[in-house]
Amino acid sequence: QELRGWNTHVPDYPVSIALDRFVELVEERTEGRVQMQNYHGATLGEGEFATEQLQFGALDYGAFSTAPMVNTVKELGVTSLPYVFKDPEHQYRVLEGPIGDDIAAAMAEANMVPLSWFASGSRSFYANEPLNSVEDIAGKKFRVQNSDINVAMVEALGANATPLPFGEVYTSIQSGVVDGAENNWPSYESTGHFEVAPYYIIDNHTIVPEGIIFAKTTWDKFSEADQAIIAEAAQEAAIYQRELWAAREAKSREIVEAGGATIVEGIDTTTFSAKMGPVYEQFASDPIVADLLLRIQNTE
Amino acid sequence: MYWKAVDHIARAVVGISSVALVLLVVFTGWQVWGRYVLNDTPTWTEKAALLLVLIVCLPMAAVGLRENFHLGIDYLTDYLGPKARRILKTANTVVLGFFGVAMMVESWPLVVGTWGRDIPLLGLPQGLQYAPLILTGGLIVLFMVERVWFLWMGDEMDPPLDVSRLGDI
Amino acid sequence: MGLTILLMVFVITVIAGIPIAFALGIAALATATYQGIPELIVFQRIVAGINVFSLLAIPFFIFAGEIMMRGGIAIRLVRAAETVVGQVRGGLGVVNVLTSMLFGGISGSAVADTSALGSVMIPMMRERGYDDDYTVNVTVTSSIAGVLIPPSHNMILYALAAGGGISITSLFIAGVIPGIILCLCLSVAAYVIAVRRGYPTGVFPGWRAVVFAMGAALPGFMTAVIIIGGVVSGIFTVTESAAIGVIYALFVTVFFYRSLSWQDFRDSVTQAIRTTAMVMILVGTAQSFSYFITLYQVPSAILAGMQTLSENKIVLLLLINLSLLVLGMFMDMGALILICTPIFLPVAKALGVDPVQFGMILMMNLGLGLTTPPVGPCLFVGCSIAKVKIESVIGTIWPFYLAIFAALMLTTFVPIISLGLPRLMGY
Ligand code: NA
Ligand code: NA
Repeated sequence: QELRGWNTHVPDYPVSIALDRFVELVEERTEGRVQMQNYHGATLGEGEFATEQLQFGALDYGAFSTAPMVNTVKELGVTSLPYVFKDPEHQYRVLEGPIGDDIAAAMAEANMVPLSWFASGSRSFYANEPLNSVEDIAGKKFRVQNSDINVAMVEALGANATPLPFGEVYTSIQSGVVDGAENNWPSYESTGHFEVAPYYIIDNHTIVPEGIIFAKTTWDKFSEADQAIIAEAAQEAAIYQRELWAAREAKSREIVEAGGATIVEGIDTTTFSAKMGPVYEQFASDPIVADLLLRIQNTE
Repeated sequence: MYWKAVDHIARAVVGISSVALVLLVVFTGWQVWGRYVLNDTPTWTEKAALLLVLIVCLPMAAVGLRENFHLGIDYLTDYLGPKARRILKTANTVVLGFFGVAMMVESWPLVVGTWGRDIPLLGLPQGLQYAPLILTGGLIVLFMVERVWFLWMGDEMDPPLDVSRLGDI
Repeated sequence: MGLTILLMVFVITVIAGIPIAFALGIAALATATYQGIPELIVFQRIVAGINVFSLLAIPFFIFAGEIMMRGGIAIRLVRAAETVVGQVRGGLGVVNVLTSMLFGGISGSAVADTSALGSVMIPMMRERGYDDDYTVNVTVTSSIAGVLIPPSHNMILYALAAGGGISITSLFIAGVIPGIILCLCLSVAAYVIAVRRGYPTGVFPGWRAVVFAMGAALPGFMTAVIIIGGVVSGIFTVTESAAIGVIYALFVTVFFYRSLSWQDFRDSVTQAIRTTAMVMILVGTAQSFSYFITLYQVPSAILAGMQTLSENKIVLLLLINLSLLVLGMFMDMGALILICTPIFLPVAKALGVDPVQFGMILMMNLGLGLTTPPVGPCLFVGCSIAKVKIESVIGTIWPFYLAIFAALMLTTFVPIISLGLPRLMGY
């Protein structure tokens, strides 16, 4: 039977293209023993509802972000903490090393098997007034995603966190309901937010992992040989996705700069992370999470 | 009368749902007030409103089966003779009853499986959003049992469709 | 095979008389069982379908409409419209259309318009010597304006069904001109028939009365201004705007008009939760149903099928219109928006039709369906208020259908009607 694969992005997004490549590779190398169908654009359900479907075995695999899983798998909480990863390469080293193995073991208990990790883009702040340092963040209203960690992070920086639906952010910045928001390069560009909030400060606060994850109930049905083929294909797809992502980021950056946005980069992000004490206290108080945090900070 | 109890249950659902609707207005109003007057947007209101709307409409949808306010096509039932109509109505009632059973049974793992984690920004168990389904399923079963009983033992319990109740679709 | 089960179970249960909302869920449940997909998905999709922030505006629009109907806003709008156009021949027909346009600017629902305005207009027109069939026909067909004139919860459903890529604000703005055109076409029909039947002419009440009636209606009409203004300016989200609309309508009817009693308020609440439950369960089970429509990749199959049929844009657009009209005759608007949008929108996009314009085409087609037998909620409500049989009005309703059809064709083939205003306002 054909496996059902979930993906939230539109078909021409780097994640989607890589996921299509993954399916191609698997079907070819298993000589048709494994048949898969990608459903792009979140047509089978949104964020946390899709994650639940994976957990209950209604979906077989997909390109999932770990953000909605944080409340299910405690260990994943560490990956959503602000300023925990130095850069994407640091994140890959962590997730593909022994720490990643421990996280994967915890995910398996929630019926999830991570196979490879994509480039998910690091998020930074932008606003309709100049942002030159951490002091400029304070006192402003920033739109955040619906997550406790994001609200706590923005508040720890002295700003006002305003959860809003993604689709309303543009008009909300335009009308002054919020002063800004935070996102990665491609989203900052494709949403047109750079037109209304042209000051982008690259603080890379979060890089939430996103990758190919299988339902364990589906995964366990494969022979060991097929499992090896699928895992390898997933890794190849991830490498391909990282290339596509880099190209996409560069293109977005070009558009944003041509659109007249002011980019502030190369800032000392420790001035930001220094303020994260209360956030870590609240979300890394669990000994397991605290231990993972320490190990990640000690990973070169 | 034994079936009076069902009346009371349906009325209780209407009461709870009414309070939930008023709270929905209050929460959303509070969100605007917080943002513009207090300059501190409450972050819990949106998630609380999403939970409330499930309480407003899911159990009421079951009551709707009892009050017959859902939209459907009655041409076949109107066309049939009294005996065939009663059989068809019974069949429909039984099918809906099974749907109610499935709703109860299948929603249970949803509630249990998501109870251990919190709704972001609200701090209540995620399983709460599926809990109204169990109640709704139970109500559907109850109302359908009541209907079958009236179809065969009492007057044909088929409250005349009160069109003033038809909302927009 | 799975798709056959999905469609067959749905059709059979609907014909057997099971409410459409539940027929959708039952069909999805049967298909899940056949396909070996965990059945809990059907119920998870119901919750996921309802659990959408922008949908929260729906209970608020419905609630506001109830308050306005019971709190005296509707009657004041009728009086204001009557002072302005009441003196032309058959003027109450045109008044009826104009009031639908104004009231539609608040309630956002065609059936609410029919029941709110019908209970005011139908007895009034009957008293002045208008025939029942004419009265019902005008009331019922003009209520479609409520779907097009913003705010409109059906537009929210459309934005949702389109996958969230369309701004609700631009849909709201886009609905204004097609709504006005629809009302113009209906006014012409109402006037022509009135002249032929020799209906009476009202008396111009004098400018003082005009100003007075408008002054009385204005605070109520401000509800619409607040809701739309809040959304368009971006100060409120759609949901917040709708909630503020409820609070404002309560304020006006309780403290200003002083015509909303405690009992009226309770009736508004208990009626609003019923209508809300009816719409939202439909949204939920339609999500379960369309989960399988997606799974079986129906949209791309239809897209391919239509493209083999013809490559002519006009033919294809007429074909889409025809499908929607026929479906609209047999099914509810809400369910059809949720099911048809993912299927027809890609076709329309491939033909170069802007999604916003397609929304207007969809609203008009399905709005017309609200007034046609065999499933026409507006027609049913209108007839039941006038206490007449559907058969007795349906024979003379065709000029009004023709008027709606004319507006539909204009909307379909003249994109600027839908897109001009949003573009002008920078959307
Ligand atoms: Na409207
Ligand atoms: Na119809």
